[in-house]
Amino acid sequence: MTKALIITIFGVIIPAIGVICSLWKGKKPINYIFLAISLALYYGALFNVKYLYLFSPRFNYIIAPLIYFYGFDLPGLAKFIRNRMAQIVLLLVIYVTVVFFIFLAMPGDYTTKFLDPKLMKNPEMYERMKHLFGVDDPWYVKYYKHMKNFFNLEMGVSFSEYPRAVEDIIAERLPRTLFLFLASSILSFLLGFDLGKRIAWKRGGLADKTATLVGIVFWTIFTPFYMLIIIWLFSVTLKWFPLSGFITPSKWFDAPFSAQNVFVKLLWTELFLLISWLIGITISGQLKTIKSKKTAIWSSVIAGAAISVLYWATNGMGSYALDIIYHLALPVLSLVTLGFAGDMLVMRDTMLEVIREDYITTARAKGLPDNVIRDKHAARTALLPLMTSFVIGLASTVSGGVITETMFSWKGMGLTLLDATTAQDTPLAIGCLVFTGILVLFAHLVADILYAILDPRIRY
Amino acid sequence: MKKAVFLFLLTFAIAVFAVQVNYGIFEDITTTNVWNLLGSGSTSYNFAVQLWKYPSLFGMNKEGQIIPAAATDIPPIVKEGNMYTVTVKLRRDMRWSNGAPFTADDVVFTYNTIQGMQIPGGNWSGVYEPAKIEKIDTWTVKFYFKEKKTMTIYYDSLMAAIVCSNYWKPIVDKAKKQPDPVKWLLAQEVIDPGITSLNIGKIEKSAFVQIVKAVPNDKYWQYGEKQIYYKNGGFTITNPKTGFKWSTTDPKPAGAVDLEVVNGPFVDTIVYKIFGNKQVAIQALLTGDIDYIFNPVGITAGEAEQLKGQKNIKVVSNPQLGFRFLAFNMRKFPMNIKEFRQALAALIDRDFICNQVLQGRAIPLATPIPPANSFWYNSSVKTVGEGLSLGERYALAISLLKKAGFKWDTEPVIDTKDAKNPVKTVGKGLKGPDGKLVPTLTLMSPGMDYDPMRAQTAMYIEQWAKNIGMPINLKLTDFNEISTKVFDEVDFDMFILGWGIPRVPTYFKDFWHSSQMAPEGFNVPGYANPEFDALIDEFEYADNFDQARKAIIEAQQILADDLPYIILFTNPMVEAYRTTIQFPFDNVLDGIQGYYGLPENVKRVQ
Amino acid sequence: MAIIKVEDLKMHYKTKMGYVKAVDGISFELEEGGSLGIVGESGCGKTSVSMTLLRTLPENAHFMGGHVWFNDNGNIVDLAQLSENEMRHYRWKGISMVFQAAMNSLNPVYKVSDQIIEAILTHYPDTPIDEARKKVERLFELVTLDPKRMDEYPHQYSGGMKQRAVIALALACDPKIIIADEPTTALDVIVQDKILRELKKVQDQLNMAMIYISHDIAVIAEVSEKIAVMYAGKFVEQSDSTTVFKHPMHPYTFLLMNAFPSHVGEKKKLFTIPGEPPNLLNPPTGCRFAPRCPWVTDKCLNEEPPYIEIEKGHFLACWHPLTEEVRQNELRK
Repeated sequence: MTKALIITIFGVIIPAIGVICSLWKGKKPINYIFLAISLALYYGALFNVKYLYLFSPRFNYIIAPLIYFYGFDLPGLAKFIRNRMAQIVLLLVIYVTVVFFIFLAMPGDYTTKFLDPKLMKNPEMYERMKHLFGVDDPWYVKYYKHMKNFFNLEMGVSFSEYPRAVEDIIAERLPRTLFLFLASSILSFLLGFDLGKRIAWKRGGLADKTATLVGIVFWTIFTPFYMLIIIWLFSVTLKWFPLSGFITPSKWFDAPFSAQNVFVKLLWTELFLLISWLIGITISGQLKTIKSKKTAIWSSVIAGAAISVLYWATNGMGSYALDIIYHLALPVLSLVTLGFAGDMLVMRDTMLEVIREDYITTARAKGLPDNVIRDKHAARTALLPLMTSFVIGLASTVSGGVITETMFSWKGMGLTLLDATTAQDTPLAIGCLVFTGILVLFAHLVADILYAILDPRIRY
Repeated sequence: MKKAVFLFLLTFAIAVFAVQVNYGIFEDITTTNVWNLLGSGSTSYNFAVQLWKYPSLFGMNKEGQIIPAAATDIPPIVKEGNMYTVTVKLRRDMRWSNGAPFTADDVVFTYNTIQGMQIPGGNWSGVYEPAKIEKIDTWTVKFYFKEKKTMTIYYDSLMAAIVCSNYWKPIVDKAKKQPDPVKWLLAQEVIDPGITSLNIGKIEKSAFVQIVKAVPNDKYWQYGEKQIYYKNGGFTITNPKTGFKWSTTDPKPAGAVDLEVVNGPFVDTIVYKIFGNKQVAIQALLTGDIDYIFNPVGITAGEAEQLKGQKNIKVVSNPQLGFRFLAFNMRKFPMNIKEFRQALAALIDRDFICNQVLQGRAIPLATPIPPANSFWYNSSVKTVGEGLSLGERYALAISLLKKAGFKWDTEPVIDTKDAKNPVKTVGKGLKGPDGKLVPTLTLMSPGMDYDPMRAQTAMYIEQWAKNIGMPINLKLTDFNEISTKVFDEVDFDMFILGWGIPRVPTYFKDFWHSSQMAPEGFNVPGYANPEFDALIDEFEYADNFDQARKAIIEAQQILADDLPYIILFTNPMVEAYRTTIQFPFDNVLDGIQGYYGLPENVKRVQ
Repeated sequence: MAIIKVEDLKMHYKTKMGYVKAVDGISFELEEGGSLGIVGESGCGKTSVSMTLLRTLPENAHFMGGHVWFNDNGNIVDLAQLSENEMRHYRWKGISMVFQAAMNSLNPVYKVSDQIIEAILTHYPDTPIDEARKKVERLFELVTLDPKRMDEYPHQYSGGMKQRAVIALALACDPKIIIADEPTTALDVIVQDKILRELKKVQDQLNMAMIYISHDIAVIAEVSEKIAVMYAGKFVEQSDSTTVFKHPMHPYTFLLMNAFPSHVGEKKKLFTIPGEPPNLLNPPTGCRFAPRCPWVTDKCLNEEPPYIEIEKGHFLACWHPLTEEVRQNELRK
């Protein structure tokens, strides 16, 4: 890609679209004012005009479109998203500040742990190190650097893995975490959803009582202990699954690529499968008969799976991916068994409420088969609250899996955050927190949008 | 196609017949860059998998004796004008794993690069000591020092890791052209040649680090080199391949051989598998997934209990290099009064704490050198009130306080004959010799979650002291808060912490020499005793190791009397490995982990 | 020939305290194209009757006996004896229903058209989608809804439109019988009237049998040929609307008729019925209305009056039927 092309696209075409839209749609002078401001910010960032920076060039790119859209009276959802984006930016600034001061208030700093008697032979060395990490700066200088980094979408340099950039470390740990937690969250969501709707439908029965009891037992069990039992049972005694870690070392000695590559590709595959499933659901939403709906979902899932299998069979990483999936089995098993109960109980409760609704009686009176009433009428409406909690939960699992990561030696974001905090590697810890914060805020946005899509009554 | 099948079979065969041992570790290595490795972010695990691959001029044998490593002998320090010099002759038979010979250029390059670029990190500090490093010829290097700090020179400056100049020179030259040379250099993630045959192979972050053989055994200079320990204390290094030989002169090796350590490597691959959890690692050890758990703090007593008696598992316990202590702020009343400190020391029954309270998980210690460090240890140092019963300890403490002129509003009454409950009247209102009321003193100790041993000990100390009216209040405090209060603000009464220590007691100076006062230095008690200072200086500038030893032995006696620290106990280093592997020795101060699992000596046995 | 004949239908709700006898021996029959109004106070079990007929009962409902003979094009089947799966085929196609709470009878997350098409496709699975949509259009026209709005969601409709949509839904499978359970309670009076008329018109056009259920006897009288008055799980009087309206013989019918202001006809005196409807857990022995009846005698309290046909087509359960004289006296008071 040549530079000229990039400049044409970003320098001419995108702003031109903006201008044309403004001229065409905009009726009020305010449109043109906002257009002018956003154009100025945009070009300021694009051509490095320092006087036009709002904190940093990258921040300009974020703010410019927001300001641009503030010139319009947007319809419903678009307006909601725009306002929410502005809120997110504001919330992030507050959040990042709060996180910073929490870390500032902690006693000691990263260099405290280098209170090694050897250092004292050379006091300058200790000072040099303090200076290197900037821990001897006064708080306002630290805060300034911190915010400057944040507005520039940078997270600084890790202390404990000096001089690696925080983004770099997060990029290394994130795929593993996402892959594991996405897989287990989706599975436990599906399991919880399905079981929840079934036991609510046959409420009061033996299945309901058993599932609720088992669910609550798993929900309240002491996680590390449970995971140890799982490991002991499946790896030590039965030897079905590997004990820990995510790869078998001897298999990877001669691999011409790193596990990270495979992980990233696996993650994309996972997302691809998820998307093909969602496409199936979307298509089936347009179809009328149960049979055609089922066919649509299954054929799109199977097609997705077939493409994935074909891809992995031909890219030469297939056997390595299988190794990872083999290692994935136990953590997923324990996460799903631990996690489905929450979804199941939420689903059960909502279902019980929905079942009392009049339209369920209508559906029954219409002569619909029992499972159609359950799945299409009751579960579909009961899905809404569950979906919201799922999406938001998904974002927080990114940082919340410390125990799983420890027990299964699956080092990811959770452990990174924990280690960084205990070692007082402030940039890395703040980086992890900010990253999680952004993710949670966006998850909320996605949840809201999903809600609007799933529930036609909601209008923003 | 046939070729592919053949190649596959070949790789398969190698994979099957290659000798592999597996070690379990608990953290990722953060870098393979040697400059960074010894820098700020260094972790024990970074060292475990790679520090052994770099040569140094001198080393230490299993007994803690200084021995030549890349040098041919231990040369003396010579005064030349206003400088002190050490002229080190290098071994001529050493080769880097990339084939380059080890020469004076490597030594000079390493020291000059660190000094020139000001590479940070505590572990490089010794390298900053020499004022000048001079290459005399290909195999001779001369070091110039401003001061005759004998111990620092031998044990620190000349024991620093040396890197392969042949490999690093172009990279360092390039770094010097960067806007931030140090940052750029530290960011270079490369695997450089080592002096050993084993070197890092494949690294999978958070999963494993593979160590592979970089040089075939028949081409490896150190293969078959022997270190022989004689029963009479003598020691020799012999290399049958290159003919290199070195022996101790006092005593001369003679008589029966105690131990013979042969250099390998005897394995083709070592895999350091990363575990997130110790329990899981123990399961992995039990199932044979790994052969040895490498952990700088060993395994806990409970874990050892779990492993003892298991098939194919050997549990070894060694003394640790470190001690836990209670420190006084001697700048403040009443901690500035020696008898007050002695009285508290008299109350602390180490045997009771270690054997009853901590159930044998700690070893009582009287002096800041563990007995296993026999060269430096003073066996005659006794703690205050050693061997006394609880009642007698109370009585001794009270008499010590009275001797210094302390008085009580309510004087404690002790019945030394009552073994169970000797305190008949609890002391109240302790006043100093000048009649000043002793204020409430805060004893800071890390909490139960950080270190239950220290927290429990502190609770007992608090109670004992209160019984005779010493107003000590225990405050379980976050480690970081203690360290800020103690090292930065120097605002405390007493605290309990621990130090990990090197084998050579160079730390005596850092902790108690009057020139090292906190907050600039680590003399946090504010201890200043000219007699002690003189002994430490004598140790530091000694002409020979015997003189140094005598000074340290005497210094230990003074410390035990003055008590800036009350030394409490040390821990055993408990480790476990499968009997499917064999180490040349496993009874050594600080355990096998102190030798990073002896990568070039470990053997797989069937 | 009767399209439906109900004989001694009994359905009780099981509770912790015992059985609530919500439907306790109901009998009636309805001709093809005919209409029956069931009227009674709230809680008398009228809605339970409709739910028992369609068998859309809650879990704690227990069918206690009786027959629902349904004429399925000459085949007489007892709906009460069918399995759940067999029953499914008679729902909507045989008997459909306009629900009491039209506001909530439509699923909020599906388009109105889809909900109607769903009913059609369930019973006539071979119908092409286009045809089903055309049918929905016709139904919309029939209930005077704009067919252009069929692809909207229920929440986009007004109350009256929803009610019409529910009626359209009830008509989707050309049922033999429609049960309209308080079809207009949630609407304002003007719309109520309009919808009832439309419902009546549609019924006539399509020649369906209709069962209206309401608490308002005046409303019922307007649209149905026959009226059954229900009290405490039982029918107390049943006849053609004129007879019931003009010559109510059961005291309860009389009082009920005059308890509502009529929006047709002259102003008249309003009565209140003293007391509360009985607890169906433990209904009083004898006549169930006896405790509230102004004309009560000892016999009423002890013996249950039989439900008998006292004139042709006029069923009554009362020991002391009201005479014209008594009625006039009462109205004059």
